[in-house]
Amino acid sequence: MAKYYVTVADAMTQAANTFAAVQTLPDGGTLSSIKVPPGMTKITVLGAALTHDGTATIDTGNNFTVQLSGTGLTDGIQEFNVGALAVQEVGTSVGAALVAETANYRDVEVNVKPGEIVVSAAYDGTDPGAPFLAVTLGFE
Amino acid sequence: MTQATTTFAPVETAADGSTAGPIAIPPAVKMIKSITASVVVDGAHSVNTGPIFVLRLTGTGALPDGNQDFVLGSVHHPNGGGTVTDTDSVILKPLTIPVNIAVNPGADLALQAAYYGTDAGSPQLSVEIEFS
Repeated sequence: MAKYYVTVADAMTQAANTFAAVQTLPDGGTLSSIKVPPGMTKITVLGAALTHDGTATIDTGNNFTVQLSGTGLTDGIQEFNVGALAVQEVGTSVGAALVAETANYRDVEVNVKPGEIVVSAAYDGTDPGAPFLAVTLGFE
Repeated sequence: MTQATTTFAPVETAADGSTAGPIAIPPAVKMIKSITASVVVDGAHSVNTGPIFVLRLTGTGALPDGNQDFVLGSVHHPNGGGTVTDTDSVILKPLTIPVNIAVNPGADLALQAAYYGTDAGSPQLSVEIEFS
């Protein structure tokens, strides 16, 4: 079970199928890469939450992928499916709804070594407007 | 949570309404075993906003491995062009994260929360910490 947790997030303003850095700390600071904490040998937990932070583009659906890269990964680049967002509209009305979703935490087994880890993310499909992703990595 | 985006603020009101402040880590306790949390917007939820919420564990001398940050979840109130009046409800199960975080007994553990994205109005967060 993980002992050390770090969280980064970002709005995903890039085009579809394009990785971009996820590097904003919850206090607004920038963490362009995560230094593997001393003594840690694995990432064993990956938590993620998705949202549309703004007006979502109707009739879009997107799957999201988190990529880990950098010198701190023993086995090279790793990619994870972290879920999907979809917005649909029937007819020409403008609908409304309320959505709340807990973050999804899953077990992973990624070997790490002293070095840096860069978190990036991409989505497939059509640009949904204002997707936003937050990621927590748990080290042990 | 009345603060601006990407700004941590204390989470320190007990369930009975009293101000609990930081949590005194009980004697003989060595670790946090799990974290359970839920968050909703208590008030009008600004349309077309979708913040993502984060919990921070901190406190001087409380955590041998330093601050710990956890993503908790997200909310979104889509309203397209904003021309429709809607009434919605959500019943949300809490999120439980099994963890193994070392703590120092006798120290004060502080809980803080922040959100990414756009202010939704008045988010309300509840956190349970399981010590072992």
